[in-house]
Amino acid sequence: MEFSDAELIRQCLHGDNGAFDVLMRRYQRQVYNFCYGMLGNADDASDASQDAFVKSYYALDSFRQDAQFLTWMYRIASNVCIDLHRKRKRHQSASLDDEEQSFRELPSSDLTPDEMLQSCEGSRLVVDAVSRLSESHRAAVAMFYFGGLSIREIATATKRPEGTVKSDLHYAREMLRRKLEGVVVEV
Amino acid sequence: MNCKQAREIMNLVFDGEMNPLEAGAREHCGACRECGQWMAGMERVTECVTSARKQLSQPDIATLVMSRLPARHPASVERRRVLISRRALSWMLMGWAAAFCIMVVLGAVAFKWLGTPIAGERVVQSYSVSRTIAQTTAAIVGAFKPLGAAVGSVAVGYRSDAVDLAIALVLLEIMILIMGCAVWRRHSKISGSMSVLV
Repeated sequence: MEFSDAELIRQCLHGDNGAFDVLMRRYQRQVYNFCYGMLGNADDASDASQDAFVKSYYALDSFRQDAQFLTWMYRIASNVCIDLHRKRKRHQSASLDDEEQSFRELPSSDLTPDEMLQSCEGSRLVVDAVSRLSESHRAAVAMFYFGGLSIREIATATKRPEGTVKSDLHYAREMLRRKLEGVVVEV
Repeated sequence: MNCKQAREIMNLVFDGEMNPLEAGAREHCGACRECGQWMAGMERVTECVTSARKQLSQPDIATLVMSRLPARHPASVERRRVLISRRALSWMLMGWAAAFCIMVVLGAVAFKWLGTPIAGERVVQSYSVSRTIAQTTAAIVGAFKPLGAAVGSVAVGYRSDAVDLAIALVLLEIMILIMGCAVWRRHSKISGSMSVLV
């Protein structure tokens, strides 16, 4: 018998941690993928998704049942990833002034776009590029492509208008396309 | 349809929206070289991201997280502590109410049968008010401690200095009550912290 998210949350709040385990197993793949999209690194993604689940566990009694658990989870994971990304950025010796600057400094590939597509290089390059987008653009791409959310769900999770989410996504997609085509973005 | 319109429509399609003008936009991109390249680039982005997602290995996050969690959710521990406290309090109130009823009855019996003059000692009329107060006090005290009330009631019936005795008993009972409350609070806290360990 499969319990609903609300029922599992209720059971957890009554002391059954096994229910939270079930809940995590239900969404861990999406949350991890999203964190990977946000951070571009498997180790960081694992840490961030763990932290996000731990935070959600302690905040479970404040979760409103009228919202979707996954959407709520994405919001927490997004904040965790942004914090982790900032920390990591602070520790980097080279400072990157803005998004475009960071795109210029991406490691360039010698492969043509077609060859990149054939290999894992294209994927690696696009993940690197995503991790260098601004927070809002990165969140939009990570939720849409890695987390599998719709525009409406992203708008709910990020508490932003759908139009803004679309605009972020279009901009980010354009940046990624240019990167893959080897075009350096000129401001 | 111009290039800008075609790209806007195709962007919406890439967003996952159904658009009635999609066929027209695709047709434009097929005919226009620049838009065709643009669309191929966009499709490449989608394929690369999808490919990156599929290549991801999936660590067992749930197991790692479970090792970082306490045995019970803090909210459930707090709720349990409150339940224990409420149960203890209700038992205490029931005990007090039962003791009060019993002692009122015992007090009345004592007043009726033991409050009469014994061995030649007569209770003067002016003293009977004090005795009544003492007995009432003893009955109230009895609500907190049956033994004390019984002693008080019996003493009031037999002795002329029962008022002093009843006052002494009241003070004693208040002390016992305060100590009892302190012990009960301590017990509740221990129960709460114990349940964290369970």
